Amino acid sequence: MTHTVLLVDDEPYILSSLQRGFEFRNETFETLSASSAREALVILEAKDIDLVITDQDMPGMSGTELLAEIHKKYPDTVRYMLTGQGTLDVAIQAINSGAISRFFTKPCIIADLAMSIRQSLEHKALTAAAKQLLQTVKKQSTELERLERQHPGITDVKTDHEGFITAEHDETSLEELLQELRRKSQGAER
Amino acid sequence: MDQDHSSQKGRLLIIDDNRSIHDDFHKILDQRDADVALAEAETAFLGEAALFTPRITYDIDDAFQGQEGLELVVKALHERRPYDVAFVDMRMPPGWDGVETIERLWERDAALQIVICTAYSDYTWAEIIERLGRNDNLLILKKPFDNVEVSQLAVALTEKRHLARQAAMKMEQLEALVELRTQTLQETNLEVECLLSAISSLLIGIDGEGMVRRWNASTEELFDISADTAIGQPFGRLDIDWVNRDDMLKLISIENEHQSERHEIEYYDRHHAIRLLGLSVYPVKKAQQIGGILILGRDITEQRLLELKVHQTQKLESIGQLAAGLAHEINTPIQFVSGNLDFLQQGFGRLEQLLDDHDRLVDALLLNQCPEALLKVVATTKEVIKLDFLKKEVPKAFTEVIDGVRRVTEIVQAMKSFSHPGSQKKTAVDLNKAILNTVTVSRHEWQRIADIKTDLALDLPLVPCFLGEFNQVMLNLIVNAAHAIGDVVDTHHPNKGMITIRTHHDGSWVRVEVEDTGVGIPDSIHRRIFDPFFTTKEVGKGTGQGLSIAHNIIVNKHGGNLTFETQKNQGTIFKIDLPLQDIKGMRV
Repeated sequence: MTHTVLLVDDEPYILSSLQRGFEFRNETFETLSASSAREALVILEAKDIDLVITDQDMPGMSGTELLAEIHKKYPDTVRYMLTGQGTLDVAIQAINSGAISRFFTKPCIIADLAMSIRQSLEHKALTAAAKQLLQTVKKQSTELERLERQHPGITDVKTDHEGFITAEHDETSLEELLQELRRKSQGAER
Repeated sequence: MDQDHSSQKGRLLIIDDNRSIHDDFHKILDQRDADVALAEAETAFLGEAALFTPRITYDIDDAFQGQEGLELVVKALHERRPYDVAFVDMRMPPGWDGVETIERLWERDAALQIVICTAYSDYTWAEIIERLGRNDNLLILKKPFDNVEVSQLAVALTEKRHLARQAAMKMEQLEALVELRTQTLQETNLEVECLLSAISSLLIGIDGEGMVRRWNASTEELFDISADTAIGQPFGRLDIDWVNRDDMLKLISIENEHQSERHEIEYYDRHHAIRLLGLSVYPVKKAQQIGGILILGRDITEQRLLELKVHQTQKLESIGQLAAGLAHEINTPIQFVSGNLDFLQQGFGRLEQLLDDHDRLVDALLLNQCPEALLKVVATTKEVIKLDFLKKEVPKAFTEVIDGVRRVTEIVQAMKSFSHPGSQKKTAVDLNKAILNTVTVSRHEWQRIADIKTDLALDLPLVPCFLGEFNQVMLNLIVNAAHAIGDVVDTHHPNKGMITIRTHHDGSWVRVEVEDTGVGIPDSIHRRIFDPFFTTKEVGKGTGQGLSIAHNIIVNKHGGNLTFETQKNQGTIFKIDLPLQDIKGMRV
């Protein structure tokens, strides 16, 4: 699954040089660019963006304002700031209202930036996978509870004194039960 | 005033040895009798018109000898009620005759009016005049008297004496008044002199001939020349070491006789240090012609140094404010320059792989070996190193690097010439270039908020100007324009504003305009915006010094004008007018 990174800066050469660097380094993520915060928000509306890197000083909406907006609307999108204005004020604002995960100052080394992006994307993927797994587990246990209510004792595997599983007969045939389980699990996967 | 005079009351003295003459006089002049006599006389001689004859009543005293008459006159003087008229008989045996009596009387009361009464005279008129030495206050009445003549003489002479007395009194009053005024004037003069010598300013008076007429204590001290030495000398020849004699000559030559002029002039003091004087020259008009000039002023060397320091401080402050923005302005191109250099370096590293493959291919060809396998290697390398991508992107990367370096160079150069301390004297400045520099160094202050459009006259002549200070003014105006627009443009109104800078040339003036599309300046503060420390900006955004200093720089240091036009929510235009001709007291 390819990740998408959105670069936001009002200086076109910043965008082009970063994109060029990432592509040449065979980074696995795709990049999109926006020259203003407004344009960035339009792209975020249309596409799943995994990570945003924004400049601070831009006409109209500033970088910190954009990050705050993204934090609110797309909390899973990782947020970076890359600014020529490496002042404490900007950093504090970016952390407090934008909850950013990285603060870079210009000039920064592309290799460092790329490595951070990779780490953040891996971390994001892992977090997403863990979330997914947790959800699956939750669903399955809910299903099991439901089955137990319908077929009391079904989740309880009984063995006889020689260690063989003993199955007691009830109204529902074993064949029917297996089919139902298969259907459920397929539905959950989808 | 010798006594309380009723102008209607006359005092007469009759000196005659003949009692019947006395009776005649009384008959004619005594009140009751006189009325009757006059009425008769009027009817007889003058008709109705005589009714308007002034009615005077008389106190009449009689003396029968000259001696006795003199005693009465002395007594009357002593009582401060002197006689107005004396009728003196010419012959009065055995005592003094009329002429001697008159001599004696006049010795005591020179203003006494005298009528000599005589039937026949022992003297001719000429002899009498000669003896008495005067012919005023003296009339001759020939006997026998005509009643009307006597009456009229008495009236006329009494009136004459009264008038003379009044005139004398008036004269006395006037003299007293003049004396009083003279005294007051002298006191005032003295006071003015004291004041003039007490003031700490220089005060030099020069007359129409160029001679020094006034030289106060401060002037004495400043030039180390005493008033005694200076006054009466031509100002131009005094022992003062002017830095530029022409300036001094300009100082004392008056161009416009109705206007005062301000000059700044330098001289070397006794330690041979240059001092600066700020002088005002006032033409003094006397009656019709110019009566010379009055020079007032003081040593402004320290003040000028302080001003320079304040300006320098403000300039450093603005450079300080710019520094953060400039760092950003430089960091941005450095970012893409370094990014691209990284790409170019890596790219070349990969190209070297391809070059190695090529070298091997060439070596093989030289040995006539079949390079089939090598060709495959080359093809693979081309793909691995992304040769197509390199071919496409390397030129772009170079373009960006070159542009970035150009931008940094431009900023650094603009910064250098912007913050150049400038000379103490005006130099011929290319304002267009100075404006573009200032636009560059201030980019960070406006570029998020506004675009700057410049409309600069190509034929703009060089302008005599203090470059550093002009830059400072431009910076203040641009930053103000950006702030004014910033108050309109925000997240909700994302459209940038526009700052337009124009220059043009009109005769002996050059105009620079800075127009913004900002909020405008409210009417209520129009009069205050050039006041020092007046600001509407929040704390930390402005000190209230910018426009005040700009005004001082343009108006006081360049002899120009700084004005503005503004419209609410439409914007403001600041207009700088600078003279091409160097004005008096400043040199290029």
